[in-house]
Amino acid sequence: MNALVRKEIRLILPAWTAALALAVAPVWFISVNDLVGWQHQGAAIACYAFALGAMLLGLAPYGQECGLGTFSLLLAQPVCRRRIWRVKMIVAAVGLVLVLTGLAVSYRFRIQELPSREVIWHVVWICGMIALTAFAGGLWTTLLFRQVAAALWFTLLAPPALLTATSKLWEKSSDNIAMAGGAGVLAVYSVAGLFLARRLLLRAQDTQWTGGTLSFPARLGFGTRTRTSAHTGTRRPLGALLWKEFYLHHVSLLLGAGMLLLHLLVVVVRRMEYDPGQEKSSLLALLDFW
Amino acid sequence: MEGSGSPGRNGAGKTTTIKCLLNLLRPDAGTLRVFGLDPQKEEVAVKSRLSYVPDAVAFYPWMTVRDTLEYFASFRAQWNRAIEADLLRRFGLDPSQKTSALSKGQRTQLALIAAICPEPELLVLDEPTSGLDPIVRREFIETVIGAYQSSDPENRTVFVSTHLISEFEGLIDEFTIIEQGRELLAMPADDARERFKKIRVRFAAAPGRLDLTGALRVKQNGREAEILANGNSERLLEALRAQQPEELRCESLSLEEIFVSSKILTQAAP
Repeated sequence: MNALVRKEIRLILPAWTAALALAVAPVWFISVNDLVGWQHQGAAIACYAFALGAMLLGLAPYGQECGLGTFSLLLAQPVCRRRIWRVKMIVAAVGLVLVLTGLAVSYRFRIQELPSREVIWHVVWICGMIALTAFAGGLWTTLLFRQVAAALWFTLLAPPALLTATSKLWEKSSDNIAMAGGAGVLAVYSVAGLFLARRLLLRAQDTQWTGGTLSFPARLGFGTRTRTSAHTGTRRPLGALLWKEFYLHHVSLLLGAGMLLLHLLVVVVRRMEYDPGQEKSSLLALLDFW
Repeated sequence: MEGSGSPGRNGAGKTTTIKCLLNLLRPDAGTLRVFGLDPQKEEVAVKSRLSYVPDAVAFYPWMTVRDTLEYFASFRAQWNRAIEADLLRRFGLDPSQKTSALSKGQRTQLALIAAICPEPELLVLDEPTSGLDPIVRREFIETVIGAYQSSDPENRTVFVSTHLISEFEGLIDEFTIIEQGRELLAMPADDARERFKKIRVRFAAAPGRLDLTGALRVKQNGREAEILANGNSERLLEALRAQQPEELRCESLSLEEIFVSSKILTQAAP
């Protein structure tokens, strides 16, 4: 087997194992009655666990490289970036298909009485869409941020935020249209995510998207205070330490504030948009995650 | 073989230059050519003719030394197994050892083996000896460069970015001093040694203020003085001999001294 492929398999192996466990374990631990029908909590948990696994698989190919510090090493090799992309995508896609197969086989063994063909296709369709969305999200975010933690949050938040933001478009339509609309949004997001990820890799430089350290804009007055020598004599170690800590983490604080706003937005929109007690379509049920 | 050195202060742009050569960074302005090729457009063609050892070396932790070398070899059209075996033996690296168990010095050694075995035309080393102890450093310079040179001495170039100029001095045929991303001084090392001289003079009694027109710098301390000359050492020596010194010595500046004094040297270059 090609050394690049072998390396890639080993690179995503921990994430793949976790994804498989996340996909399969809920099927075996949740009662069968709870698993059948998307309106049940058990099915939703299984769905979220599978989505989380797919997301881990999306984060792994480039997140692992960044985490191990080998991304530059990979880019420095005399190998076409398109080939790197192809190998990573094929290995991760095969991993994802195997996870989906594991999920399907688990369901088949767990549920003796198969539902109708229509329901099966519905489940396959939903799982496929979730897998693609989470996978594509993991890819573009890791290549953009080169940080697994930031990528994880954006991968988690972007699809629900998009669904919530576009839900108004089909709020008066039937469930089927709302489902199709939501699916369309996720499909566009996924395809765009894959294209963006590919573009980011082909143009990748040995630096994050910011090209360095993010800073508060100078016009806000952060970090631009100049002090004369007369001021340096003032002994205020606590204030200086606090200021240093604040400045050290200001990017994280900004991101955190953005995340909090998104959370609040999702919560508010959810309360306005639909009644939690009402039976939801499977796609909208995803919003329950938030 | 030709050795090219790029000394520069911290933040001068040495690593940035190297990353631009490898298309790991895109230059904001200007053009860049390696082997006459554009690294952005012909990335693989450029990279297949060079090897790069970064300042911070990282490997996949689950791989052994052997696996790592096989991995790098898979990207190359040629790989010299004899050099690989020789360097592994000289560095005392165990091929079955996991890279996660290697020390910083051993990781650098492994990276150097991986860089030399493909026998590239250009070997790019970014602070290759930082963090290595003096013995390993010396061994590295002698062993690695020796192994690289022995394969095809006529077609080998080593591009080194380093703070430790004195250790690489014997290898450097040409140098380019970089300051804030710009070339401050570039010339063949032998020409530089010929051109930039340091004259030490001692008089029997303090001579008063020495008036040496054309000297780059005159440092006077009582009876003794040190004068920097830029291509005019003979004339300055004659002027000093006229004052009948007790002792008069003239020697070439080392590359490190040229680097330290580079601003003075370039300001007054003829």
